[in-house]
Amino acid sequence: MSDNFIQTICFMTGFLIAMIFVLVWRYFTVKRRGTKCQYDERQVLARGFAYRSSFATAIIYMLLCAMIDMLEFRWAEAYIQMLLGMILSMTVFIVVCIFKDAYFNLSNRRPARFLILCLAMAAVQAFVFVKAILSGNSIIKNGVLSNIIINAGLVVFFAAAAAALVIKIIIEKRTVEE
Amino acid sequence: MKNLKLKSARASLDMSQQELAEKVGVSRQTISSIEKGDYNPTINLCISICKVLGKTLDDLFWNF
Repeated sequence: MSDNFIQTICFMTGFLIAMIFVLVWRYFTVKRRGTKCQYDERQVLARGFAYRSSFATAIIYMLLCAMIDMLEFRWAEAYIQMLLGMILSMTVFIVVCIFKDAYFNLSNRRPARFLILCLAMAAVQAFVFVKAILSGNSIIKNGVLSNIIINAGLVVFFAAAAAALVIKIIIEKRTVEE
Repeated sequence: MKNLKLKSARASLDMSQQELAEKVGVSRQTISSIEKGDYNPTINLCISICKVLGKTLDDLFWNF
C-alpha cells in the first residue's frame, strides 16, 4: 500500500471519529440538557453576513486556485489546496462572527473556555508542525507544499480565532455600558 | 441616530442593559446597538422592549 493511501485512510478515520464525537456531544448537550443554540435577531443577521463573507472568500480562493492551475503552476496537491481553502473560509467565518458578537449563543457565553480551547489547539498543531520539521520533513516537497502545511494552516486558524476573541474582549471591556 | 428615549426609559427604571437584555431574551450587545442606533430592531423586539419598560411604541421608537 502506498503512503498516500495510508494517509488518506488515517485522515478519513480521524474525520469519522470527529463526526461521531460531535454527534454524541450534540446528543448530550442539545437533546438531553435542552441547551439549544439560540441567537437573537441581530446575531442571526450577523451570522448571515459571516456566512456570506466566508462563502465569498471560498469562491475567490477557488477562482485563484483555478487560474493558477490554468497557468500550469503547481503549488500544492489538490487535497491540500482544498483543505487550505476550507481553513481560510472557516477563519473568515469565525473571526467575523466574533467581531460582530454572533459567535456565542444566548445560553452559552463563555469566551474564556473557548479561548483556552483555541490556544490549546493552536499549541497542539504547532507542536505537530515543529515535530514534523525537526524529524526531517520539509514544507516544500518535490517543488510543491507538503501536507504539513495543513498543520501550519490550523495554527493560523486557531491563533486568529484566539486573537479575535482577545481583541473583542478588550473592546467589550472598553465599551461596556456607562 | 441614537435612541436616547430607550436609554432614558431604561435608566428611569434603574435597569442595566444586561437586565433588559435578559428580560427581552437578547444579548446585551443587541440592546447596546439599538441604543446607539447601530441596529434597527424588528417590530417583535420593539414590542418586547416596550412591554418590559412599560412604554408604548410611540414613546420609544417614534421620532427618537
